Amino acid sequence: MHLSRAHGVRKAIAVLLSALALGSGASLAQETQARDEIDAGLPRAGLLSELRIDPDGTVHLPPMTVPVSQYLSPEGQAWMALHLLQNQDPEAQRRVDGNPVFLEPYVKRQYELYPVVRKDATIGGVHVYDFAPAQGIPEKNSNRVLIQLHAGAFHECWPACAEAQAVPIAGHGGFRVVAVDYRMAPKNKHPAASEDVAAVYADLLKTYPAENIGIFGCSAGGQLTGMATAWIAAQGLPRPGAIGMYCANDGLGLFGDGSYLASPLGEGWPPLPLIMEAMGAEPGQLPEEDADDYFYGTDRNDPMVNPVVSDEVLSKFPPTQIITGSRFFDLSPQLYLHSRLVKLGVEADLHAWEGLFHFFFLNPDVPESRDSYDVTIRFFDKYLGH
Amino acid sequence: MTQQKSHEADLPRIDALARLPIDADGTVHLPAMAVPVSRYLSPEGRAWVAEHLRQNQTPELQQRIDGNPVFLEPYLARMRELFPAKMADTTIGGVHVYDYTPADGIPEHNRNRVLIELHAGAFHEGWPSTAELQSLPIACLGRIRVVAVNYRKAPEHGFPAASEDVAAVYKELLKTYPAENIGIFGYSAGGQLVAMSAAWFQAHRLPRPGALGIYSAGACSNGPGDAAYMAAPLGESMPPPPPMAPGIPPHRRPDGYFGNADRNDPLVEPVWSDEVMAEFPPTQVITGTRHFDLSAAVFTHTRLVKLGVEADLHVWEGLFHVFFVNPDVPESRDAYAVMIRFFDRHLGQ
Repeated sequence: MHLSRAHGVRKAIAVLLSALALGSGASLAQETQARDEIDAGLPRAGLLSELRIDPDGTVHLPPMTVPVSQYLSPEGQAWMALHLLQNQDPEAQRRVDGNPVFLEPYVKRQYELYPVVRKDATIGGVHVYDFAPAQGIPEKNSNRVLIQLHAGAFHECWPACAEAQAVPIAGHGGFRVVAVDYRMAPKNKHPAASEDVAAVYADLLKTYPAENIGIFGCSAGGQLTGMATAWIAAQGLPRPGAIGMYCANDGLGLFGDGSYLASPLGEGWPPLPLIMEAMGAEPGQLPEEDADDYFYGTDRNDPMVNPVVSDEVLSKFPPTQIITGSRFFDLSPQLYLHSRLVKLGVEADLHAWEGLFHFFFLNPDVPESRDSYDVTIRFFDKYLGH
Repeated sequence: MTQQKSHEADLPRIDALARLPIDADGTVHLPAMAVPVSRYLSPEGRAWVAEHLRQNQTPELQQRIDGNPVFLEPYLARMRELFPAKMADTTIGGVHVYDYTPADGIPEHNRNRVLIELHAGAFHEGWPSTAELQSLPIACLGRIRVVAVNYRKAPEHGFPAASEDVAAVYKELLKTYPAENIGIFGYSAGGQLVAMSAAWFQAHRLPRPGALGIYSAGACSNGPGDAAYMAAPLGESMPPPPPMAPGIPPHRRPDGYFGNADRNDPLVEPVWSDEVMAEFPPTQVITGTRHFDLSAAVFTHTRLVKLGVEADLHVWEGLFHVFFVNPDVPESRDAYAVMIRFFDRHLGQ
């Protein structure tokens, strides 16, 4: 986002927070009651002291004090807390050449823990980092390759977001991983990134059978994985063997449960719909589009932008893995995507981490992150051809 | 033409530094907010969430008749209309069961298969309404025999009475069916009992069943996770735990089914034992963003995956604990299809 826009958002949020502060507190004592248990039961007869509900089912939540989930490992709990605090630290959030400062130590740790060889190269005319495990590619993966698409809201985070995700999968999984430096906003608009992924893919098809090629990415990269898969099919190219859409939002502009609760708990942001309203949007809607946006001028009902709108496009997806979590702001779109894929008979593999946030696995020193690398590696090992 | 923005796909933003108050230990202070029904749901799904929340606040609908909630009656009537099955009221292995077969007969590929169903009701009620609600669609749409177990419950009985009853039924069925052709499923308390039974079979050297369905539950009670704050208030209009609550001790009423049972005992909460969980057969876990079991369910799935067990997770956006008791909602029909496909895929023939 541009500075002027950023300033506007900050101001809007400040106004919003002060308004919320005025309205909170007073009713807390009446609205929350100590309860003996949440048992594994049906709605209880003895529990009629409930929250206020509107006729349309809108629930009025009281202010809540929500601790870090006790289901997490000690390292996971500490990481959740640190992430929330990093999000409020201007120095950690500062960008250097489009890469957030807070990412630096985690990227460094990835290279330390998972030794890789990295080649700065061009494939199909597109700039890439071409990663291979330092010890060489094991025999069973010698005829396989993964294309990685980095995070960063379609306007930043090359190469840090690529490295944070590609290095453990290459170094630990023993895969060749080609991370694509696709074109981004504000200079470029949709479908520039899809074209770049397709160009890399088409070039790799000269060496690898389609079913031996996987595509994956997190956040914007996860969204682009789905978009590029639709784009590749529309170009008449054979479909890849498997894809991983991680932490991916859709562009439907719908607010699901994740917009209200997962994003405040995972990022410390005010609930997303309230931010949008503070920016001048109608309730439940998004504010006016920004001309600098990657999706400026696109149609959200275009399956090249939003494959989830088209059963025809979605039903041709290869096996698809989805990773999200209870504090991922992408929770609702990811779950919706999974349920659509399942309904259409696509092999779809869902993983949802309790208590963790969007892209938590960028930190390799947390057991849950390592578990997620194994989940990714096992999935591609299971579904890619040899 | 409608337009969209990529703001949702962003990393933590430099431009959103005005944020919620966070304590040093990561505790988040959320403001009050009004949360509408999820727009990802079908129109029927949206109406069902609103209806369910209303039902939860209507005392006469929450009344129990012989341990069966009044609000379930219309759904039960619809199930009987939509999914006619033959039911034998009988005993198997000395335990009272309802034995369902689809009215149009069992097809060849399911002739040598059976599902054991374990009903909901917090280990103290819910028979037979919740058993019928879950057994009828699976027996009829899946065209498979379903044996619903009337296991012993509180307050007359405590742990491990229910596990013993499930094992007795299972042992008797093993005389006719190979273990890998027997599936066990249940929701809510029944879901937890599915996991407890799998652990109980291991401890008593019974062969492992072919597949498990843990629905609206985890392999543990509902402990202190995000669901208590997100899912329970939005799905059931339950108030969240009070600030600084040190967690929610489940099932600690003196007359409760678990009495003084140790929750670290893998026969009570298998999820804490890697040794026991690693031996689970293929297991399907179903939950949702407004299921108060969300945390327990997804945690159970993560552990099974880590231990190399074939585990299949489905999480419904916007829907609540046991939403699929209502068969007139598209999402419920999708859930039945998911359950049926899972057992068809993993049970022996």
